[in-house]
Amino acid sequence: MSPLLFVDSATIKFGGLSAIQDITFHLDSKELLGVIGPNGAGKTTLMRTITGIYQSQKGSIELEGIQISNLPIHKRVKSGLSMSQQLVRPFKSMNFLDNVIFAAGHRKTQKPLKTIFLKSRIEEKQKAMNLLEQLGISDMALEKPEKAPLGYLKRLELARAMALEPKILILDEPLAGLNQGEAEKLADTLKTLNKQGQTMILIEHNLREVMRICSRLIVLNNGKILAEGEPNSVFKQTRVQEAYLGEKINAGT
Amino acid sequence: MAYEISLLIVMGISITAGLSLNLITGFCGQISLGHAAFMGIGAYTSALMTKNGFPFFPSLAAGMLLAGIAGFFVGLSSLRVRHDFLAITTMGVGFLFIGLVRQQDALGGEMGISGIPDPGLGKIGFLLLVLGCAALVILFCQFMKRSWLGFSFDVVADDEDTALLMGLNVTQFKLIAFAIGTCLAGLAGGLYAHNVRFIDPESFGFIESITVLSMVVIGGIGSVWGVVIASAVLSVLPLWFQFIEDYKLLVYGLLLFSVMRFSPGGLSAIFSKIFTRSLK
Amino acid sequence: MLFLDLLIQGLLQGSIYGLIAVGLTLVYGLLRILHVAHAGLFTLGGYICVIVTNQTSSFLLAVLTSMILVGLAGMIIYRICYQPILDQPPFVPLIASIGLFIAMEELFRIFFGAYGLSFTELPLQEPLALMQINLKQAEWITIASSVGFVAMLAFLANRTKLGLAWKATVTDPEIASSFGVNIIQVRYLNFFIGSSLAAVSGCMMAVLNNLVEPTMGSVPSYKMLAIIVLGGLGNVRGTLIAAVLLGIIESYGTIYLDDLLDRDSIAFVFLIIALMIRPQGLFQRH
Ligand SMILES: Nc1ncnc2c1ncn2[C@@H]1O[C@H](COP(=O)(O)OP(=O)(O)OP(=O)(O)O)[C@@H](O)[C@H]1O
Ligand SMILES: [Mg+2]
Repeated sequence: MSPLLFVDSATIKFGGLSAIQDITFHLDSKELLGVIGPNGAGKTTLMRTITGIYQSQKGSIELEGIQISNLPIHKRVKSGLSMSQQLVRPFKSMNFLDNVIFAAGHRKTQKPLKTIFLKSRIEEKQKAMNLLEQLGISDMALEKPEKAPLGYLKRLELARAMALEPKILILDEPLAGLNQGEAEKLADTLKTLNKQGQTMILIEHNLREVMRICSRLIVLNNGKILAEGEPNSVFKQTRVQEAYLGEKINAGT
Repeated sequence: MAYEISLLIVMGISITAGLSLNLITGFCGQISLGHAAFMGIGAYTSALMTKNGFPFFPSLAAGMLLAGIAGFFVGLSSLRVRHDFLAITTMGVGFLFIGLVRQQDALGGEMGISGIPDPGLGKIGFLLLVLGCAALVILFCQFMKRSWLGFSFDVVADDEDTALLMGLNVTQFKLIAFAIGTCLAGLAGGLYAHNVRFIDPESFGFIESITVLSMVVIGGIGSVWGVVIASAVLSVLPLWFQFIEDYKLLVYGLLLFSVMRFSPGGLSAIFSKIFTRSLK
Repeated sequence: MLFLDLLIQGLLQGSIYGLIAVGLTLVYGLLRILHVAHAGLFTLGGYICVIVTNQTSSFLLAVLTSMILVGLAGMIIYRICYQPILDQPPFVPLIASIGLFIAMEELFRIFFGAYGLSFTELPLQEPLALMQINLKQAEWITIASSVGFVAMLAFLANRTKLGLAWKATVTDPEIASSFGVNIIQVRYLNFFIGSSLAAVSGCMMAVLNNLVEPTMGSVPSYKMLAIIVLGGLGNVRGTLIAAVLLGIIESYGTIYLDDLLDRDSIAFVFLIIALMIRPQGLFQRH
């Protein structure tokens, strides 16, 4: 059986700098794949390449055996990818609830010319409210994102991504901005979601939670895959420890 | 009575024009500084047709169609350039339009087209037509705002990049906004031509584009009623007060400036502020 | 000979465009504002020049007065018009600026009349032949001043502390201010210099046409926008090249394209084609 997602030799250069280079990996259905690595390793770039924000200069990307490398972003989203971004981008002119309602209406907005005849938002509103509650941010439902703390905005990103009902949910540092208690709780929510059958890619710096919930890990460093495998065995590898220790030493100076 | 009727006609046409730009700039967030060109296309098309013996209504419709098609193509530019660049591109389209018309003898050149035939509806009939059009456009805008189309426009106006990540085909939504908005501008232009019964390139120049834009901006970008009120008031102010006619542009200029400087949300923002304050 | 004449006319026009557009592109580079009212300052510069020359019969004094007063006016516009709305979306300052420009034009009309002003005695009219090219002094001075001022600007930007501070602020205001650059001062200076250059071109325009009128800024107002976009917004060198190119193209276009298009829309044909091919402008470095 072919994997749900297959990324072959993804390569992105910014000017002279190779942000990612020949990255090849696969993702099976129902997996929760962790992607970790020091700052600037290329994690975000890799995810942005998968969703089509950047175009890989090499290789291909397949979703369920179908080439998606040439599709524009919105078509990739339609075919089952959704991403919650590291740098939050809420729609500032609408409140939390409307942000999620819009995402929940993704089927309605598929055919632009028909959208003028569609009015009801009842179903989407229900769905959106449930998501906000599930993520613990329903108290802000009617507030604009303007003044919300980062932890809330992060979860709003997540709620929108979930509302798109993707086959693969890509999460870029969803736990940033949360305190350890909140992080733990959200990680549990993600784990539950995964158990219910949601395939996920999770980028995180919070290694404690990553080790706790991920079934498989990919470690990126300098745009390349440094190690891959089951979390505990990955961390036993000396080069992984070096990459992280190296970072800690750098951070210390 | 005849005077009041002509005031109302001017109002109705302005409301249609203001709302047509509001659809593009207010709803969908795509700034246009050349909107008068599309009114011009509607005006020239319908005027040339009625002058050559075509009946009024089909001519009006042809003007709308042609304006909408032109708008669609100009909308394509919004896929390449954004914000400031789009503003300047559309401004360029406006200048290009009058630059072209001026040099074409077939379009009346610098002298314009005079002797445009009367639509034959009578003064009252024409007034009813104009007001009917304005009312329909208002209803249409209200309806659209509450639909998923309006919702999608909001999202495109807010943040195009993120809209794509919500699976939205941003391109198509922008083109829809341009096509509908410019088509309605064509309607306003056709009505204008058959009201004044004389048109020339200057009637659709940069100043005219800015005048329409000022109606949208002063009313409150994206707000239907704000724009309706601003269009109605701004279009007849100079007719009411003769002394304003001389200072019309000064007033427009200062209004545009002050609204942007002190209340970028326009009248509608001021009203909603007062309203929410009085509720508290 | 016609060919050469057209070229020189084009250069002359291009110099004037260049002097106006440089100020505009400086403002854009620093604040991301399309400062349309800049064309109003150009007109103001022309008026001051004519009035002072007529009062004192010294053209030089008139140009200096004009540069200083218009420079100050530019700073005032920044302070009251732009500074409070810098955090708004780009169309807000743009529309505010258009409003201000329209109001300025109307004020010129109301104060000085619709038909404009002329010099009582037109200065700089003696012919002067250099390198077998015969032009009036005024025309030579126009070309020379645009070359001179732009060279001075390049010197300021690249060789002085002030210029470095300016460049740093353009690249990254936060980092610049953490290095002790006073960003507000840099902005005022930016407006002063840009506006006085507009004043110079207003003065030259006044002499070349022996006329200043309320609407003398309207054609430059939109044409300069086309120029700075073509030049790659914020890029001084690109802006100059675009200005001169446009001057020359228009000069030939008037002869060869006249049946199709009027002169003032030629700029936009190029603008639109260029933007569709290169949305970031012709000379923008990536
Ligand atoms: N748009 C861009 N233009 C130029 N360089 C970029 C761009 N985006 C990322 N980079 C560079 O590419 C490299 C990889 O960045 P990326 O954001 O993918 O890292 P990351 O692993 O997500 O880091 P972090 O943990 O800090 O989020 C970095 O060196 C970064 O500076
Ligand atoms: Mg990242």
